Amino acid sequence: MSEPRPLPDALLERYVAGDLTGESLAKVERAIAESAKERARVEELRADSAAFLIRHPPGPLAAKLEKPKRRWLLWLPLAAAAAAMLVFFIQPPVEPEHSVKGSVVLTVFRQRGDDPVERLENGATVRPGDHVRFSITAPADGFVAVISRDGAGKVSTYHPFGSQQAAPYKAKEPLLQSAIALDDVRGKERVWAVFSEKPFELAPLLRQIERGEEPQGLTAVFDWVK
Amino acid sequence: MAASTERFNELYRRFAPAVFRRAKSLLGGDEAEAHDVTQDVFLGYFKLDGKLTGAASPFTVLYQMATYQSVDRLRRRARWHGRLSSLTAEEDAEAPTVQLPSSDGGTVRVEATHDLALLTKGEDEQTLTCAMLYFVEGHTTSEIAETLDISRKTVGRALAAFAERANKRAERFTPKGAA
Repeated sequence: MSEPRPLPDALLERYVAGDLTGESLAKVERAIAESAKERARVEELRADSAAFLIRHPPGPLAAKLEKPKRRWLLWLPLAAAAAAMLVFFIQPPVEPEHSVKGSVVLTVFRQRGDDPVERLENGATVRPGDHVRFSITAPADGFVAVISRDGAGKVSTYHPFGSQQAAPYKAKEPLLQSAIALDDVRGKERVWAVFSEKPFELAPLLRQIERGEEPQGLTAVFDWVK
Repeated sequence: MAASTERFNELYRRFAPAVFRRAKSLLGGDEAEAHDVTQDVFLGYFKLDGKLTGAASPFTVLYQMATYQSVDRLRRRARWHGRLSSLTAEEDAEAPTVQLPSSDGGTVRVEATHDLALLTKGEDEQTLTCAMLYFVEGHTTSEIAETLDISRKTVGRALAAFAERANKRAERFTPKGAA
């Protein structure tokens, strides 16, 4: 039996954006329920959307829209005090970027069963069996590793899985390919993203974390509780 | 926060990833250019916002704008490959009469996209998007109608009229005496 024709990309995009209704929505939901491939496409789109919004939040662009409305402020006197105020008011409230020069940000996404992919807050509660995926925002291309110390004190490498070396990293592709299913070890788990512009060995890093020390350099930390 | 900013943020969060992916796919994976298109599309959409009739959903408008602006950028560097030198689209046709091969690593599709960019100069956003989805991406008229929230008849009519215009334009790109 031939496989059914895949859903068009644009239709799937409309579905993920919550823009479908009626018969179109029912049709897409049926296709997703019946096909693991379509479910995987939806999950991938949702994870990619979340990663996009981390890299490109709406704030800076919204500010561009607002700026023209504030031009009347330019007519204020150019006295030093007024100029200071002008600078203050002309700057609209900009949504903070998630990465600043020289820093690393680790974002964690969780998929639980058929629920939509969600971005976890630091300190979130997770469950055994949850699937998690990582996004690292770093200032340049380089090399990264994601290391964990679980509630029992066991140290593991989540990314790159099974390697002794940090994985190559492209700043334009922050969402890592590795996805992990959480085991049933309870307690607080700490996860580090470590970035370097040069390749690095993981063994010294793992030993350092096993000794209870914090990794040095460009790192980001994320905790969850199971 | 102003209501307009709230609305902008809401629409951006819902639709910007799809706009970005659409642009990236048409622009050969160029993320920087796709991000530029995404920004232009959203700024353009909000300049138009008061003038939109509300008949089309924001997704439909944004998707067509993303397609149009990406193809517009491609057109500036496109050259003719002759992949779309003879287009046919009957008003009642469901599927394209010629399907591009999908097993060549995408080269034919890239060339067809360039051809379509040249053939759609002067076309409106809806016609251009229908043509791209049908002639290059191989969607049926029903799929296009569902995606863009318009009737299948409208899609068929737009494609048939476009094919006629496009074939005349294609003659200008094809060297005389060439098959």
